[in-house]
Amino acid sequence: MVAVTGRAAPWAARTWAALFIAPAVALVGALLVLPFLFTVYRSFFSDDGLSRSWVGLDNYATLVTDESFLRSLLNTGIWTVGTLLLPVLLGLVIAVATNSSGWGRFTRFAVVLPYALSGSVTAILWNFMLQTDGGVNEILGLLGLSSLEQPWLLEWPTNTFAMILATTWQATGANMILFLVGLQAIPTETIEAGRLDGAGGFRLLREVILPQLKPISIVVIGISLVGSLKTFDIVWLLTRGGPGTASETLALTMYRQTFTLSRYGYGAAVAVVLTVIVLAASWIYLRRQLRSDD
Amino acid sequence: MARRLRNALLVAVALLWLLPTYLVVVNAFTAADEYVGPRWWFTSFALFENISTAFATADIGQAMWNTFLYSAGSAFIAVVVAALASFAVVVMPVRRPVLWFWLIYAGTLLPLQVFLSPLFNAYAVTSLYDTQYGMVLIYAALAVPFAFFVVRNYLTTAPKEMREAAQLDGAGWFTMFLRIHLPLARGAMVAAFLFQFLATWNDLLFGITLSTSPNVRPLMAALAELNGQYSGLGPPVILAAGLVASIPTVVLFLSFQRFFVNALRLTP
Amino acid sequence: MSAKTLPRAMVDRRTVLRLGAGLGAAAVLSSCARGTLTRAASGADVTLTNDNPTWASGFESIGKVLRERTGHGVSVRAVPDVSGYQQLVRMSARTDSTTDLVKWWNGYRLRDIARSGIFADLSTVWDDAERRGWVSPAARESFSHDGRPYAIPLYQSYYAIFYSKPAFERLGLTVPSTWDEFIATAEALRDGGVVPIGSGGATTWESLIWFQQLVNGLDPEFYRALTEGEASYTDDTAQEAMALWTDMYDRGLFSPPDFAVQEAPGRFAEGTVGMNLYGTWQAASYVQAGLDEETFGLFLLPAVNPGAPAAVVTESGALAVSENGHKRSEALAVAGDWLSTDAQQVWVDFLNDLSANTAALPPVQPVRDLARQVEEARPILATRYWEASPPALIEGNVQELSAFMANPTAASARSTLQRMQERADVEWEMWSL
Repeated sequence: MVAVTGRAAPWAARTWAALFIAPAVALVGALLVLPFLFTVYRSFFSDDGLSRSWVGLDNYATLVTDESFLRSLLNTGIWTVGTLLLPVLLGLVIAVATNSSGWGRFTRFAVVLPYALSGSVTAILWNFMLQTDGGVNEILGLLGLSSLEQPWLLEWPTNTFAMILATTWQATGANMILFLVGLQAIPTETIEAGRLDGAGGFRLLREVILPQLKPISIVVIGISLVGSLKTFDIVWLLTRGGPGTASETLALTMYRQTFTLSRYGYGAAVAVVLTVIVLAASWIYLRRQLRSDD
Repeated sequence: MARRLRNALLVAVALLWLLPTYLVVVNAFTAADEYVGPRWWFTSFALFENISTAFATADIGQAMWNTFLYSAGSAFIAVVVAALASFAVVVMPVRRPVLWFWLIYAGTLLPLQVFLSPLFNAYAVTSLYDTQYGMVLIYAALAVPFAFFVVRNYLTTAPKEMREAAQLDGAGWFTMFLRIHLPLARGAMVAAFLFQFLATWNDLLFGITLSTSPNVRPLMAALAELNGQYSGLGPPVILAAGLVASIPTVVLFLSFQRFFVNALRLTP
Repeated sequence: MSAKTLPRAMVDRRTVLRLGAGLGAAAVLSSCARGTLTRAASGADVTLTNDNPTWASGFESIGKVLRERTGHGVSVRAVPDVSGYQQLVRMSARTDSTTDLVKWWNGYRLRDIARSGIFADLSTVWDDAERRGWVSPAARESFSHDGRPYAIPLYQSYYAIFYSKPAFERLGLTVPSTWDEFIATAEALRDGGVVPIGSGGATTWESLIWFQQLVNGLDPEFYRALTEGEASYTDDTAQEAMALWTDMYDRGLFSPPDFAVQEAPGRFAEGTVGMNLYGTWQAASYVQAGLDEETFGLFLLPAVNPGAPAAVVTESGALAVSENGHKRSEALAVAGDWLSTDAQQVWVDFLNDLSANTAALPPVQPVRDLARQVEEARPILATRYWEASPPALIEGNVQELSAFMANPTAASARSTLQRMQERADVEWEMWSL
C-alpha cells in the first residue's frame, strides 16, 4: 500500500501513525462499537428492559419463522434496489447535466433544498401529498388521470414505492453534491485532452468523466447501500411500518420489537442480523474497490 | 437545439422538485385557525403569527443555539479526526490498513437505534446524560465513519508520487499532513463537514434520548414538542417552525454551493 | 510531485485560519453546559416527567396549588415522543436519572412495569382519596397490580361523538338517541355531501376506537371477557362487531382511513365533516382552534344492541411515584393531594377535559354537558383497548385493525380476527410467564 511496504517501517513512524488513528478509533470504539457488542450479548437473553434471563439462540430461531420478519427483509431489499436506482442515478445525472448550463444553478438549488428540510416538515409534507384526499391524487384528478388515483400509503407494495419516491426527492441533492465534489477533482487537462481527441457529449462523459468519478461513486454507492439497508426515518414518519406491518423495514422491525413491545432481547437479535447484512453487503461491494485503488 | 432541450428539461426537473417545497411554504403561511387540510394557494399571511406561536410554545431559540453548537462542534471534530485517520491509513506505513478502515467504517454500518439503550445506561453512569459535552461527543462519534470514508477515498486519488513518502520523523509527517494532504482534501472535508452538520442538525433520536433539559435539548426535540400526538397546534405552526429551523442549513448549503461551483473546472 | 499539486502560498494562511477555527471550536466546547433538569429539583419541589410538552403550564398551575397544600411544587420535564418516552422511563427506572413522579398509563400497561417494582405502592394515597370522595373506588382496580395500586388517575376521558353543529343544522339533524337513528343521521350527512364520520387509524393507534366501541355497543361483558383473555376474537360477538364495521364502510359512512384528527376542528367549522368518535381530551384542540359550543357538541353513542346495558369507553392517564426517586416521601405527599378538588379544578381548567374527581369540571360547555350525560346514564365504564390487555398483544392487534381499515372487506374482517386470536394465544402465555 505504501512505499515502505516490504521492509519494517521504523518504530517512530508507526507510533506516529498510531497517534493519527487513535482519536477516530477511540470515538467509534467507545461510543458505537462497544454498545453494539453489548447488543450482541443481549440478543442471547429474554429481556423486557427491567429483568433478563438467558435463552441462548432462541431469539434467532424465532426470527427465521417470523412472517413479519421475512416481509421486512423483502421491503429492505426493495428499498436497497430503489435507492441505488433513483437517488444515486439521478444525483449523477443532475450533477453532470447542471454543470455547464445557465439554468444549472437554479436546478441545483431546487434539488438541494429538500435535503435541508427537517424530518417533521418532511413528514407533514408527504402526508399532505400521499393521503387519500391528498395532493398527488388531487393533481392526478386535475390532469384527468383519475383512474390512477389511489390510497398511496395504505397498500403494499405501493406504499413502499411511494416512500422511495419521497426519499428520492429528499436524498438526490446529497448525492448530487458528492458527485459535484468528484467532478471538481477531475483535472482540467484531462477534460481538455478528451476534447482534443474529439470526444464530446456522451462520449466525453462515458470515456473521460465517469472513470474519473469512480472514487466518489464508491462513496456515494457505499453510503447509499448502508443508508438504504438501514432505512428508518421516512417510514417511521409516514406509516410507522403499517398498515399492519406491511411497510416495515428491518430497522423498523428492530425498533418495534425493542421499544414498542419492550422485547429487548429479540430486538437485539434483529439488530444483529441487520448489522450482519449491512456488513456483508458493504464488504462484498467495497472489498474489490478497496483493493483496486492501490 | 440540444442545449435548449436540456435547459427545458432542467427547468422541468427544478419545478418538479420545488412543487412539494412550495406546498410547505403555502401551508406555513395559512392561519392556524383557518386550516382545514392542505392548501395550494396563499389565502392568508399568518407566517409570523405561526412562528411566534411556535416560539411561545417551545423554547426554539435556545434549542437552535444548542443545535448549532452540536452541529458545528461535532462536525468539526469529526472531520479533523477523520482527516488524521485517513492520512494515516492512506499515506503512513500502517500495518493492515484495511483492517483499520473496517474498524472505523463499521461505525456507520450499525443501525443507530441499537445504540439507544446501552448508550443511555452508559451516559447515566458516567454523568454524561443531559450534558452538552455528551451530545457533542455522540454526534462526533456518529459523524467520524462517514467523514473518514469520504476523505480517505479522496486521498487515494492523490497522485501516487505524493504517497511515496520517504521515512520521516514525527514533525515531518505532521508538516506533510498540514501542507499537502489537508489542502488537497479540502473539498472532501468541506463536503463531509456539511453533511455531518446537517445530519446532526436534523437528529431527533439521540436528542430525545440523551437530553431532557431545555438548555441542552437540540432543535428537533424542541420541534417535536409542537408535533406531539396531544399537541393541538396543527400543521401550519409546525411547518412555519420547521421552515425557521431549516433556514441555517439552507443558507449553509447555498453559501457552499458557490464554493463547489466556483471550484469546478469542468466548464470549458 | 508535479507542479500542479504543490501547495500554494495561500495554504499556510489557510492552515492558520483553520487552526484558529479549531481553537474557536475548543473555546465553544469548553463553555458546554450540563442540563438544569437532570438532578433533583431545587428546593422543596419534586420532579415529574411526561410525554406531553404542551401540558407544562398545566402542571405548573397544579404545582402551585399543591405547593400551598403540601409545601412541594412540581418541576416538569417532557419527552415529546411517546415511544421514546416509554423507553426512557424503562431505561432510567434503575438509575438516579429517574424523576420523582412519572406519567404512565393504567391497566395492563401499568401492571407491565409495576410488577418489576419500579413504582411505589400508593395504597394509603388511594384509601385517603376514596375516604374524601375525590375518586370512585371502582377506578382502583385498573391502577392496581396484585391488589395494590401503583398510580393515580391523571384525567378521565370518555370516548364520545364530537359533532359539527353547522353540518347538523344545515341538514336539519338532531342528536340521535338510538343506534338506528345514529345510522340514519350518518346516512343523511352522507346524502347531504358531508363526510359522515371522520375516522383515522390506518397507521396509528386510532384504529382501536371503532373496534372497542362496536364490541362494547353489542355486549360490554363480552368486551371485558375478551380483553381479559377469557373470550375469543373468533366468537360470534366479535364477528358481529367486525361485520357491522364492514357494513358501515360499505354504506360510505367513514372518511378514508388516513383522516387526520388535527383537521377535525377546521372541517367541523366548515361543516364538511359531520362526526368524529374520540376521547374527550380532544376537546382541547377544538378550544385551541377557537371553536365553542356554537360549532361543536358531544354526545354518547347509543348502544348497538338495544338490550345491552349502556357502556362508555374511558381512558385515564396515570401518575406514579418512582421507587428510586430522589424525593420519594415528598412525591408521595404530592400524590396524596393530587386528586383534591381545588388541585383538580386548576388542572381541568387547563386541560379542558374531565377529572377522576367529578367535582372538578372544565370550562368547556360540550364537555360539561357530556359529564352530565354520563352522570345521568350511569354507563358501565370500559377500559380503553390500549390499556385493557397486555401491551404486546394490544400493539400487534392494533396493527391488525389498522390493516383492516385500509381494506375493510368481510374476508379481511375474518382473517383479522383470526390473527388477533392467534396473537392473543401467544401473548397471554408470555404475559403469565
